[in-house]
Amino acid sequence: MLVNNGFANDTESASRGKGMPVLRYIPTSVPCEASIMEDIEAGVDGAFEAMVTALTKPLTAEEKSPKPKEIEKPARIIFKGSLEEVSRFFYQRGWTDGLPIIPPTEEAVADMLTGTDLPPDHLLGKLESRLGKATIEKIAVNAVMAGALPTYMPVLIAGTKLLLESERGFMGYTTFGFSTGSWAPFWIINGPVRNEINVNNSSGAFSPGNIANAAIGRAMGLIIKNIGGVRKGVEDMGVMGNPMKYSMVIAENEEESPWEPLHVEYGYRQEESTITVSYPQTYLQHWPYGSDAEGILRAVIGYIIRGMRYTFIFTPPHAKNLAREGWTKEDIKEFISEYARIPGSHFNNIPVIGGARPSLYKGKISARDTDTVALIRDPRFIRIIVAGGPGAFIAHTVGGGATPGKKQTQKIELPANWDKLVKKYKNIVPTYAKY
Amino acid sequence: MTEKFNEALRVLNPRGEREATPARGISPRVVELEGKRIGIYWNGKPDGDYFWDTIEGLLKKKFPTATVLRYNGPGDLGEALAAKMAKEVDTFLYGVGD
Repeated sequence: MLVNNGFANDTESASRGKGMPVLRYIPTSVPCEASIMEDIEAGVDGAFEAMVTALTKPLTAEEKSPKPKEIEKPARIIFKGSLEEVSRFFYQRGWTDGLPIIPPTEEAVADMLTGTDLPPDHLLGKLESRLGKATIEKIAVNAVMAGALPTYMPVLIAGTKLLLESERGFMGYTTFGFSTGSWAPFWIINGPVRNEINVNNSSGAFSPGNIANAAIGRAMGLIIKNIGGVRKGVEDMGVMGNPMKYSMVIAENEEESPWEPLHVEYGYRQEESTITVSYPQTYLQHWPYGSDAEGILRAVIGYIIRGMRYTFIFTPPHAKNLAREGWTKEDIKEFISEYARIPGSHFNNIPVIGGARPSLYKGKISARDTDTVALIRDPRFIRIIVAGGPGAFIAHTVGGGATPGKKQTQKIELPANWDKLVKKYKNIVPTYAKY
Repeated sequence: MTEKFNEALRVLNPRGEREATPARGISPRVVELEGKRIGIYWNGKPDGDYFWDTIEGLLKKKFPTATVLRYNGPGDLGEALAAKMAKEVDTFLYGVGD
């Protein structure tokens, strides 16, 4: 195996994770995604002899039958110290997102576990890539660290199930979490649970300041890191990184939407609650050209960028204006996939997603400005939701997500004492003084 | 509050436990590359073809009697394709770009 120098840790981690503690790989100096032949040839020349040796040198005894890995079963109580010492201990082991944590004491974890009827040792599954056991207690520990309330436990359990049950290759935020593309999990919450746990869907829906939006995404990030084992610079090779990885969680404003909510569109009942995930790389916002359907939709296709999966977030007034002129969500998806086009000359030889090798496209697509190429080949790559406050902005999230028809939504199961729990925690909301 | 911050807190481990996984060795090597069928597996990310074309060119130049077979597929090639490749090649190079 030949790898770029910067990916040595990643290579070893992937190999060990798959049960191969010893691997022959050759770090090369070829820059990633290089298309300059001089650079490629220089890097390959330097590595060629090593490559031939790796293919032909007889195996060592250790390579033939490596020692089996020992069971990793560390102490349940991992540390004892002050608030500051706990935070530093966790940070220095790479178990946080860089911000201070709430110490996961027995008492705090027991309190968090009141948010579920499932026993602490209940195993949801093993999260890729390190195949860490996702037990209810481990989810609760990470939830405490993130500052979550016990009423978020059903959402976090559903989010973890969603990662576990995703299609092959996407299980446990592996493909998007490992990628150099810095894709961030974006969680949309639908159904009655949204209001019961106060997930913001209105003014500044994507901004910090609401505990549910902040802590749910943060907790999922810690679950991915500490249970699944996706760590920055080792497994997560995102080149630029992404601030959306701290937490990107919103609810849909179902009450003010003229359309069926996302979870109903995906086959769930209105009174059920769900969590839906995608993996955007980019979040962009813009004004419409006008507040009517033409002004809104022309602006959407004017500002659209290349990607794989799209979520468009319309404010309630824009959604209502579109619906008043007869536009359904399906109409909008079809319109965007038909008219979001770029000149052939902008296309170069980069394949649209789902396409084959770039070489298959070379010379086969017109490079004339007068010919255009559709940015989105399939309306199922588009998702439309309603959220945001007063004002005229439209938001796009652009990036990755499930293959159409594959799992992207999970039902949120509530514990028997849900109403009592909601009553206990529902009033924890910020109240701003007037000045 | 300050006193409470300094109290000794006993905290739980956030990391998921994992079971021991059986360790597998790597495939036996070929003695030399001359006359061999050498597979190149690549998941088809943009520009990777330039890299593998260069490798293929060098292999053919240095080992003229060897045959180079190219394969494409997802990052994780899966059992079926792995079994097919195992029948068709004597040794192989595996590449993933992401």
